Amino acid sequence: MIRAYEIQTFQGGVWQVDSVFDDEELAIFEARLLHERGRYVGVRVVLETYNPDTDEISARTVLKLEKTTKADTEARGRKTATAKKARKKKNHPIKK
Amino acid sequence: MVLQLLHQWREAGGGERFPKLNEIDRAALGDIWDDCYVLDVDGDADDARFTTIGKAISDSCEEDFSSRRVSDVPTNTLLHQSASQATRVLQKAVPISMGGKFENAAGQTVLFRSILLPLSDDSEVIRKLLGAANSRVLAED
Repeated sequence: MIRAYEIQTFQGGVWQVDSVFDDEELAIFEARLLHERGRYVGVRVVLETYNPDTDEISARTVLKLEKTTKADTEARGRKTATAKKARKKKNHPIKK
Repeated sequence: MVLQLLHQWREAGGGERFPKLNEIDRAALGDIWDDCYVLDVDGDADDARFTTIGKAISDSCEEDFSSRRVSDVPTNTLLHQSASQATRVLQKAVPISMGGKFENAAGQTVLFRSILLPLSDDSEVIRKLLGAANSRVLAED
């Protein structure tokens, strides 16, 4: 089995390969650093495995990091507040 | 070393796809530059030629391979093991880091980690590759 860890960044609406590592730990470390720099909306590490016996390539995401914008945080806050309100109304002892 | 060079490469690019060789800040790299080499892929992409080889990586070979081709370098050297990824870097057009081990001329097992990064004069066509590698000899049991 041949393994390659691709760091991919989300830019221009598509995921693009940024760099390739053969070591998972290094790839994840670098991906986290890239994400912390805040330049990309998303950074992920994709493990590509090539089976020379079957000539098949498989891919799976081992890490995915996405930038949270202020709008995302506010939307999440509204969603949480709405859910809390709904739960409170449901559990209120006085029922009509 | 690998990540430090990768970060320098990113900084040098400044958002462009590939930086130029003269945009790489050698002063910032410090001693790492001794572990680096530059391959010219413009003439023959399948068998690139070394234009620069850092002292540390050059000393790990038994002769000076400046201006020579990758195929001239014995396979049991750090320089060859590192530069052998050149074709893959050209195909994918992204930096590639790999590690591994090999047996050197002295019969010692050498562990290494290397990286190859694409360079360009116009940030579009890859003309050169910047490589770096370091290694250590595995202690015998």
